[in-house]
Formats: sequence, C-alpha cells, structure tokens
Amino acid sequence: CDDFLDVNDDPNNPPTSTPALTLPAAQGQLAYTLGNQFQFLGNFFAQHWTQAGAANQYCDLELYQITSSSYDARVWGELYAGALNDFRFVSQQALTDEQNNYAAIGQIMEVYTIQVITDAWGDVPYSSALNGLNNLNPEYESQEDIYNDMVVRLDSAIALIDPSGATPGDDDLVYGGNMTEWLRFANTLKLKIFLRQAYVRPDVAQAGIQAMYSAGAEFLQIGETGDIAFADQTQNRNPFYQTQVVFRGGVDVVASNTILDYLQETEDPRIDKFFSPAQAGSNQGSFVGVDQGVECTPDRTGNQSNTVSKPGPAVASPTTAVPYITAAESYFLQAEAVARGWTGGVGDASELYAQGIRASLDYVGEDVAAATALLQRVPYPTGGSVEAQVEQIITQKWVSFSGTQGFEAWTEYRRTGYPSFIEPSAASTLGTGLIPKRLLYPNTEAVRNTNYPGLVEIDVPVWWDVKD
Amino acid sequence: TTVGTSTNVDGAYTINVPAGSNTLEFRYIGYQTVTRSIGNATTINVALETDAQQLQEVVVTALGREEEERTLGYATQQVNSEQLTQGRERSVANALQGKVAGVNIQSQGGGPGASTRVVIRGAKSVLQSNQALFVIDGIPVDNSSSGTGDNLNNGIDVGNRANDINPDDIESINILKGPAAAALYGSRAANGAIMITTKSGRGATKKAEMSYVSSYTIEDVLRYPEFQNRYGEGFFGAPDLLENTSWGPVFTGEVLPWGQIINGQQRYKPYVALKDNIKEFFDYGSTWINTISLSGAAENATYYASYSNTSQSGIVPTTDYSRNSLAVKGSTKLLNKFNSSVSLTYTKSGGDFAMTGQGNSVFNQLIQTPRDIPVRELEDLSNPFNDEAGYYSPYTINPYWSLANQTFENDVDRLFGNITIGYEVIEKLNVTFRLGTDFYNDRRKQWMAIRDVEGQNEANNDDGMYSETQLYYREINSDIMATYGFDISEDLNLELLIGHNINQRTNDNLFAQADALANNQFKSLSNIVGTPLATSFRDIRRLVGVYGSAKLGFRDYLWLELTGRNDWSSTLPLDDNRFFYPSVNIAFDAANAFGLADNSPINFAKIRANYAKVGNDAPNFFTRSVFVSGNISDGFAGTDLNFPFAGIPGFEVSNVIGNNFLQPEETSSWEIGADVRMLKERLRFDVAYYDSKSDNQIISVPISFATGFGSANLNAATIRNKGVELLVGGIPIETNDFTWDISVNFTKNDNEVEDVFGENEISLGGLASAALVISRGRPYGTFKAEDYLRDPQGRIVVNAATGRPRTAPEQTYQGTIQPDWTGGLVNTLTYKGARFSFVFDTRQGGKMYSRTRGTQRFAGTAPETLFNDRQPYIIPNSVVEVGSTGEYVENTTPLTNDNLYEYWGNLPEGTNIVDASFTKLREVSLSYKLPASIVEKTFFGNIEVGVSGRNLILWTPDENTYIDPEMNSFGNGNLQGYDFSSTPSTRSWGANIRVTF
Repeated sequence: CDDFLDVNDDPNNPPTSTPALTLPAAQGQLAYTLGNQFQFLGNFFAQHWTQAGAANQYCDLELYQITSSSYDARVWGELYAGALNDFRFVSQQALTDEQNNYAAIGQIMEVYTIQVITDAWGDVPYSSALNGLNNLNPEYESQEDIYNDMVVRLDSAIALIDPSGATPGDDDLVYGGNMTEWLRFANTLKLKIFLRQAYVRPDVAQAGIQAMYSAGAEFLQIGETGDIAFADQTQNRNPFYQTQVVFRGGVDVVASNTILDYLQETEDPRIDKFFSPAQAGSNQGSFVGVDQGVECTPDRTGNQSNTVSKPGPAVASPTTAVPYITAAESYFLQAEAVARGWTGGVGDASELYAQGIRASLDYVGEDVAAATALLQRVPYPTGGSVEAQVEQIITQKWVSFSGTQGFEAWTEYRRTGYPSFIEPSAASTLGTGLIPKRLLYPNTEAVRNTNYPGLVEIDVPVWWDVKD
Repeated sequence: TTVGTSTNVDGAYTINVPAGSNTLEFRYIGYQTVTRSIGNATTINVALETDAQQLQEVVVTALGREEEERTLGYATQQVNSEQLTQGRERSVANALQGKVAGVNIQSQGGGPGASTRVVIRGAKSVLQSNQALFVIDGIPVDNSSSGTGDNLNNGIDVGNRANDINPDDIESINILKGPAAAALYGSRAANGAIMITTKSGRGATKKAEMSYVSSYTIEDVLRYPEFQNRYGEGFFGAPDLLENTSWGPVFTGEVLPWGQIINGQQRYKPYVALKDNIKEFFDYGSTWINTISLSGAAENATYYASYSNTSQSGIVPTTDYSRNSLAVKGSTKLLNKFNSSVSLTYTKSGGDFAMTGQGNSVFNQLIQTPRDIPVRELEDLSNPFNDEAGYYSPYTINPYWSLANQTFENDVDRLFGNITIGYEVIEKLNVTFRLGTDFYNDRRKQWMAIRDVEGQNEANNDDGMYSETQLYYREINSDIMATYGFDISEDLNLELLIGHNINQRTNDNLFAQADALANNQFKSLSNIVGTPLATSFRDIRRLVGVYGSAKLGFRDYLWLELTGRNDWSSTLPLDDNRFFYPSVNIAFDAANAFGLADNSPINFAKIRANYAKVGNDAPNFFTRSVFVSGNISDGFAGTDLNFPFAGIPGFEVSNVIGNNFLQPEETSSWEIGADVRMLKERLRFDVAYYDSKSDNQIISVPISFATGFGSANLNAATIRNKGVELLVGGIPIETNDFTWDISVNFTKNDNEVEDVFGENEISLGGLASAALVISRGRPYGTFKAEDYLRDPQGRIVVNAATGRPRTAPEQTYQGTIQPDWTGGLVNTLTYKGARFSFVFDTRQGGKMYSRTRGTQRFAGTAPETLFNDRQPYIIPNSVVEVGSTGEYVENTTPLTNDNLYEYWGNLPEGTNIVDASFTKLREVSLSYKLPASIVEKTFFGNIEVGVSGRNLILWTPDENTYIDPEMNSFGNGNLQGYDFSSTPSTRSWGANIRVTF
C-alpha cells in the first residue's frame, strides 16, 4: 500500500539545486525588478521620464501617490523571497560544497540586494530575515545596523574570492566567472555603501574609504560594468521594453523636460541614445519633452506620446541591459571620494569625473572622443567648494543613470539633493517641495508580520537622508 | 402471521403460506403495491405498475445506493427530469437554479458554453474547491473549470466540465446537502454532492420506446449598462476625433466629420447620441438542442441509448459552442445470482470563445466607445476607415477586428462511465463491484494576429501570438461493497454495508506558445520568430478507503445509521497518511409512530438529526519544498522573465515551504431538520438548521516575504457555516383537471472565517487595489480595496490644487461577496395536458466589483458622470490637508470641466464595488401534451409541445446600472464577485417539442 501511495513527489520541479543553477535565477530576478518597477519609479522620481498626455498608467508616480500595495509582492516579495533568498542559498550551498567563488558572488549580491531594499524602505528585516518557519515574524532592524553589517559581509565575501580556484562560467550572468571583476565590483559597492553615509556619518564614511585606499583597492573600470544583458527571445527581453514598449504600446513613458532641457543645454551627444525624436506632430524629428507630471494635472495637453520624445535605443530595446553598477558610476563614486578628500590624496577628481563621462558615453554606444567637447560644456569645478564639486559629479552621474538606473538616480537625489534644478512633479499631492523619500511598507507586512512597525509616511526620510 | 419471500431475477417466486392465510401482498420499491386474495390458487401472477408518488420517495444516496427518503437522517432534495429540462437549458447546473434550497448556483458569464459554480451550504475551504461533487450513476466525475490567461488580461471562460452532461439523459438529480449525507463518499463530498441518475430504461412500459426532443431557443443580452446620452466623443468638453471617451461637448445634431482622414477623405455623421450603438454590436444567440433516445426493458434486461446535439451561437459575433454526446446504458441479470450494468457516455464539445478582461477584450472596447460612434459601421474590416490603421481611435481597437483576429477555440473529447457487477451470495447478502472512469482531453488554440501599421494607431502594434494547450485528465474509481440486511427481531431490522474504494486522479498538461509570429497566414507553432516557449505539468493522486455503515430500523418509524470511513491518501505525509471519520444520523417518522396519518391532517412528519465528521487530504505535492524554474512577473501579460534566460537554465528556491507533518483537514457538522406533509400532501414543508466547522485546513499560509518565502503549507484555517434552509410547498388547488403546485425555498447561510493563522490574510486574487481576501472574523471573500483618504470626521480629503480626492495609503474592508439570503419560488400549474411553470430566483445582499463601472466612469459614458451637468463643482463635504500637518480645512477648489475626466477616471477602486443583489425571473415554461384521443390516431406514443424562457427579467438595486451581478470574470473557482469586462449575461426564449414512438 505504501508504494501505491508513494506518488507525491512533484514531478514538475526538482527537489534540489546547485549554486550554478540558482545563481542565474537570482541575478535575473534582481535585474528584472531593477529594470522594471524600480526603473519606472526611479526614472519618474528622478525626472528622466514623465507620463505622456494621452494615457495615465503612471500618474500615480507623478502624483506621488504610492500606497502600501504599490510595491508589495512583486517588488518587496521578489527582492526578499526571490533575489535575496536565492543569493543566500547560493552562498550557503557554495560554502558547503567548498565553491568559494560562488559563495563570494552570492554574498556580494546579497549585500547589493539588501542595500536596494533598505534604501527603498529604511529600517527593514535583516539579521532575522530569511529564516523560513524558524522566524515567521522577522524583526525590523535599523538601517544604520544594516549598513554596518553590509560592510562586514562584503569583507568576508572579498576574502573568499580566489581567482585561481574553480569559477562559474556562463551561469554567472554578470561577469561569466571573472573573479577579478567581481573583486572590483565588491570594492565599488563598498565605496557606494560608504558614500551613502557621507552626510549622516561622515567620519565612518571617511575612515572606511581611507582604509580601502590604503589597502590599494581597485574599482570597476571602463568596460567592466556589472550588468545583466537581456535577450531578444520570448520572455527574455528587457522588462521595460516588454512592459512599456510592447505591452503598453509605448503610450505612457516620454522624456521629462527636466533632463531633456539639461541635455540640450549642454548639447550632450547622449541625447539620441537616451531618447528618440518625436515621431509625429508638429515637433516630428526633434527632441521635445513634457514638463514633469503636467499631463496628470488640469493643465494637461493630452498629446499622444509619439508627438514627443520617448525613451531611446540605449534604454528601450529588447536587449537593453540592466546594470547593477556601471563603470561610469564607479568613476563618479571615486571622484566624490577624492573630492571629499577621503582617499588620502590618491586620485584626481577632475580626471575621474571625466572618466565617468567617457565610461557613460562608451556604455550607451557613443564615441568616447565626444567627451572632450562635452567636458567643455560641463566642466569640472576644480577649485570649487567640496559641495560644488559633489554637485557637478552627482549631476553628471544622474545623466549617466538616465533610463537604466532609475532607482539609483532617485536614491542619490535623496542623499545629495542634486541635481539642484529638480522641482517636484506638477501633479504632486505631497506638501510643497517634497519628493518621495521612501516607499511605504507593504500591506503584506502589515497583515503577516507581527513586528510590522506601522505606517511610516512617504515624506519621512530614511536614516542616511539628512541633507536638506 | 406474516411471511415473506423475494422473487428471483425472472420475477418468479415460491412461497409456503401458513394455513389460514388469505392475502398476498406484492411490493417493490417504486411500484404500486398489489394485494391479491389467495383462495385456492397455486399460481398467482401479477404485474406491478410504477408508482410516481412513491418513486419520488426513493432517492439515490452516497455510493449510488437507493434508499427510501423517509429513512434518511439528513437533508436531500430531489429534482426530476421534467423540472430539469422544462427550461431547455444546456447546462445541468444552470437548470437547477432557483429550485433547490441551500444551494448557490451562479452562472458566470454570457458567452456560449460558459461556466457555472455550484456551492452547497457556503464555502468551507480556503483554497481547495468549494464546489459540490458531481456523481453520475455512483461514480464521481470531474467538474473542473480551467480558464485561460490570467483572467485580468484577456481571459476566456472555457466552461466547466459538468457542461458535458446532457440534461436530457438525466432521470433525476438528488442533492446531498451536508457532510452527513456524503460521509461515505469521503473527502471530496464534504461540500455536498449532486447525485445524477441517468435514464436506464427501467420502468419502461413497452418493450421499446423511442423519443425525440428538440428545442430551439434564442438569446440576447439580459443587462446592458446604462449610458448617458448627452455628451459625445471628446475631451475636456471639446471635440477630439481620436478619443475613446465621451467627455466632449453636448450633442448638437450638427453634421460633423468623424474618424481619421484617409486618402484625403473623412466620414461624416450627425453629432447625436446613438442610444443603442452598443446594443447593435450584439447578435441574437441561439441554442438548438436535439436529443433522440431509445429505451426499453426486456425480461432480464433494460437498455437506454441516446444521441444528443447541442449547437449554441453566442450573442458576441463569431462565438459558438457545440456538444455532441452519445450515451448507452444497459443492465442485465446474467445467471441466477449475477447481475451487471454498464453505462458509458462519450461527449465531444468545444467552441469558439471571445476574450474577456482588460486589454483587447471585445466588451472592454465596446464600453469605451463614445456615445455617438456608430458601432455597426465599424464591422466591415475591408473599409479603410475600419482597419487597424484607419480605425478612429488609437486607445481602443476595433472590436470586430479583435473578433476576427484574436481567436480562441477548444475541442474536448470525454468519456465517462462505469461497469457494475453484482452477486447475490446468499439471500440479502449482495456483493457489488463497480469500476468507473472519467477521462478527457481538452485541446485549445489561441491566436492573436500581428498588427503592424503606421500612423496614429502604431501604439497598438503587436508581434502576434499563437499558443496550444492540451489538458489531459483521467480519474479511475473502484468500489467493492457488500450489503447484508436482516431482521433482528420483529421490530428491529439491520442493514449493513462494508466497502473498499480506490481512487486515482491524474492531470497531464502541455502548453506551447509562439509569442512573435512570422506572418498572419497560418495558425501553427511553426509560425514563429525565435523559439517557442513550452511547459508541461502533471500530477497524480491516489486514495484508498474502507468504509462501512450500519442502519438500524425500528418498527418502520425510527432509523439510526452509523457510518465510518478510513482513508489513506497519497497527498499526506507517507508515514502518517491515514485518517478516520464517523457519522451518525437518525430519522424519526412521527406520523407513523403516533398514527398521525389516521387521526390528524398530518400525513407525514419526519424529524431528522445528524452529526458527521469528514476528513480531507491535502492538495498535491504539499509535503515537500522544491526548486522551481526561475520566473518573475509584473502582472502584465507576456512581460515575465522566464528561465531559461538566453539559453541559461535557472532554478530558484520555491517561495512555498513544504511540510511533511501535515494533518488531514476535518469538517464537523451537525444538522437538525423536519419534513412535514399534511392535508393529503396539499401542504408540505421541510426545514433544516445546520452548523458546520471546517478545521485544520491545509493551506499555503502567506507569510512575511522577509522570511525568504511567500507561504508555508500548514494546517491553519477554520471556517464556519451556519444556516437555515426552508422549503415550503403546497398544492392550493387540485381538481380533476387543474393543479397548482407552488413551492418556495429560502436559504440563509452565515459564513465566518474563524482563523487564518492569526492575523494573517489570504488573498483569493483580483486586483491589488481591490482584492478579495480571507480575513479573520469576516465572511469568506471580503473586498479589501482602495478607499478615499478621509479626515477623522470621515470627510473626503482632496488635493488642494486639483480638488480631486486623495487615496488613503492603506486599504479598507468594503463588504463581502456572500449574500445575506437567497430564495426561489417555483410555480407549476397543470390543466389537462397543459403545464405552465415559472421560477423566480433571488439573492439579497453581498457585493461585487464592477470594472464596467470603472470603465464607464473613466470613459464618461456612465449616467453618474452627468452629475451637476459636468459644470464645475466642489466635492460635497470635502476637505484639504494643511501641508502635511494632519490638520484639515474645508475644500474650496472645485472640479472643473478640465479635470472631470481625471476625477472620474481615478477614483479609488473601492468605489467600483456595488451591491450584488438581484431577483430574476429565472424560468418560464408552458407545455402541452396532446390528448391521447388524437395521439392514438398517429404512430406517436406521446406528443408534447412547449415554449420556454430563461432569465427573462432581472431586477437589481438602483446603484447597479452596470451589469448582471451573477457575472464573474474569473470562472467558477473561489475567486468570485468580479465583473472584469465580462461578456454580458443573456436571456433566452424558445420552443420545444417532445415526441415518443
């Protein structure tokens, strides 16, 4: 009888996996979230994109009307139970299997993922998270403690890296098992973690960065962007392309005048990579945008999306990659560290800034040589105040994020307040001058986790967000 | 002294009668008793005649047993063939609507072959099926409903499998309402059972009879949304020839251009409201049902054979459904002690269906059509103004184009039936073996053509899609039963039953999709750019059970039955997969006990009571955690990231935690009831009160995602249903020629979720902004939806700049789908050969979400958008927040014509929830049987002609101007109460004829 009834093993799914089989799933899921819901959110809040006139799918983002269900199961859920838990499986299983390089990648990506989570929601479950039935109500932990532990965990990951050991191959969708690049990625991530604390804990940030430079840390260089390339195949395509261009017919998302004005003012050659010219109407063939949020107000024109600029070829193609950290970002981070004087005299901020712009041109497929002329129009304020230097760095970093790193663009805007020319959406329902400072804890936490801390409003800054 | 004997299969008998005996009484269930005096005769032959009155008193209970209704300690309700087929409804389940107390039967859509949900005495299970088990001739059959898509987007209601049953083949249906009635069936019947007995030829009065039934019914839309007819196409109060909205100027009657300019030309029409422009889109549907059957009885055998064809064409052009079924059934007495029967039905069904939901569904396009657009003029797709490029609006697509180019068809082959062999070991000890099977293959093909145009409609360009799905299902069911009855004493008799059951169910499904087509010329998976996506799914479950019952009868007025069943299930942990559950029921015929029939107006008075536990096993594969192929979705169709990713496989840790310590679920219930008939059956009533608690439910409990998982399989929920059922009937008038029979049924069920793992909440689905949830202390299926932001005094908080309401950051509970009560009224009047019957059906209370309302508000076609004649106004009783201070002052910003669209189009989703009460004139039928004096002159045995109508009138509360509340876009599963641009429901009327030869 037992044999007759022994038929309850799921024939459709495997009972076990390996780091090599799970790593790509985790990397892909994280890239999907960053490249989809967080891409819309970030690029709207950071004013690269805005809602087109003849539709209203994303007006909630223009109204800053984010609810507790807006980024729930499909974002919060996928970040925790998808990416983070899968990276945790990779790192733990790899340690058991003595595959140290997989363990290192798993841990680095865990840190990357938890930073995204805490930057979005502030205090979140961390140490007590990912324990399944052993802790059904994970406690919320302060962002400060999480930031402290991220550094510890990165150091432990870096120590595991062994370029001479067995490395992943194609299953590592980011670097194909190139552990030198993973080491640089980890260092760049660590630099990003420290700089995020530049205003809230400058001493900690400075000490941490100083230590990295003293130890001779290397960072990501041109051509070493850590990203996930999408493929032009069924359900393998770039999520923004699938969602907006294909499913929504490209009717919603158009260029915000905030960035378009800046790109035109600076005659930035990347304009035709980030955006495409209007396809119809009186402005056909030229780059025109829409004032941020105006199409979600009574002053709307109702114009169709094809009468203005839409996201362009470097942003909205089926194969557009979703970056975790770009080479350009790496240089801008280094430039900021130098500008703040936290590198012990190592590095030239102006040159690193220029490298950042070159790396960005390179990444979007523009001729790097064009940087020379562009730099004339967006010169580095050598000799200016630290804040002036940081403003220029972040403003150009913001440009480099256009359309592909929306979440980071919004997050760096929250940290620094740059670009300083960003004004809230015309459709804002928040108080004067306010742009969302966090996401609301999801509804599922309110009903499933007894440690849910209660509603924290969208205008309450996260821990590191202290600068006006 | 009384002595007795039984006949053999040939009907022969011998009996030794004691001296002094003077009469013989001949009895058989369902036949009139005949008494003969013996005199000096040595041979007495009698022919028994069927007793219609008594036949109704014998009902089919669990395992296909035939028992006298008066001896049952639980509620059942029988519906006979005539009641079932009088309305000429193709669906068995729909044909029961309004006729049975305690049963909620909801037809889900107006498309051909649409599905129906049947729930008895309330929803009991959080995640597993809540529908009654369908049993045909003792064998459980599948009644699943597997819709397509994700329902929100372009879903299709492909019907439920009970649709495969031909109502004309049914002799009677007995509904076992409570767990006690179904305890012997085991876990699947905890939700009650619909016991269908098919025609067998038994009781045929001739050696052979042929009958032919034909009916033709026509249907049209029962409920159109109401529309405003004052403003036409446009925006901000101004004309706009691209718009799909009616926010334009007031109608003027002026002749104006409309649509695009094509080749320098443009169409002109008067700018007036076209009151019926949406109505004109729909066709008259029709259903033609033809059934021919042969039946007869020979000395040792009965047989029945039928062929039936049902052809339905839908109200939506191009949609249709057909069903062909062949049934054979026969029984024979083989040797002296053997008997056998066989029943087999083959059904081929399928159709062409239209999409529902958001996106490209036809109804979604239609209800956005401006009030002045002539819909019928869009029909000719070869007209350059109507094709993909020339269609007037870029925001919707031509519904006729959608019908022609976005198709779905399916084709189901199904066979179900059983073989039964019985053996009489010794007198009154019978052994029966019954082997049944049910299997089908459902092949589906969905096509969405490539759209590739330039110009304003470019945004609707699409790479096209083609998919094929094959669903294979097979169920095998075997029962061996032994029954033995004997008299313990003169007053006591005992009937014993023991049995053994094996049940196996398997699914084996394949799905393949080409999501970018090479061209529009052929529907095949090879028509593809790139590689097709393919997935497969299979499952199997087995159950072994032993069961027994003992029924003790005392003096023909008191019966006590005990049952017990022990199951071993494959879906529970292998080392702990056994569970036992008992029931007890008692029936007391007071009329008989106290001799009431002789000295009071009461003919019959039965009191019944029962208590039962029914165990239930787990869903498949709940005991172990797995890894699953990587997939992540944002809810839009076709936008997933699905592994393999660029050729690299990826398996993620499943978000569900398996559990190898699951315990079986348990439903325990008790019930008391009475069945009283008086004044020679002129007045009857049947009342029942029940209380059932479904405990220890096995569910995937949603857990905080921060645990690394989304859910864990646990024993974690309790749902309670308490209710009253009342059936009151009477025959107010009965003369030789005229009879009026009336019956009223009333059901009130109180449903409460007593526990879902603490404060947890489970979403049954729906919209994130208006979900249907299960939450402690609330009824099963409560809306949790976006609401207005309100100040502490409850006033609506608006945006100071726009005057538009703000949405509260947290959702609120906004009512349940559970009705307060339901009821039915059945009237049957007969006069000589004429019979007139009508049925009302009502459901009061309960809510539904109407996307039709949301769409009509956004598109400015709802009458409510005429508020204040679209002149600026301040939302009554509204306030604005001062900064982010939590202080509120009176709002002074009016809504203006410029942002009325924004206002009506962006109301919190909760405001689209409406009262789902309704009353329907469910069925009307008139039939006339030609007098024998006329028929005798023909070669017909019987001729009956009739007319019938169904769902002829619908009454709803004033606030629902949108849709028939029975509509549900999510098929007949647990997610109910969502109108998500469903195909409207229909009313039908037609004529029929029945003849026998």
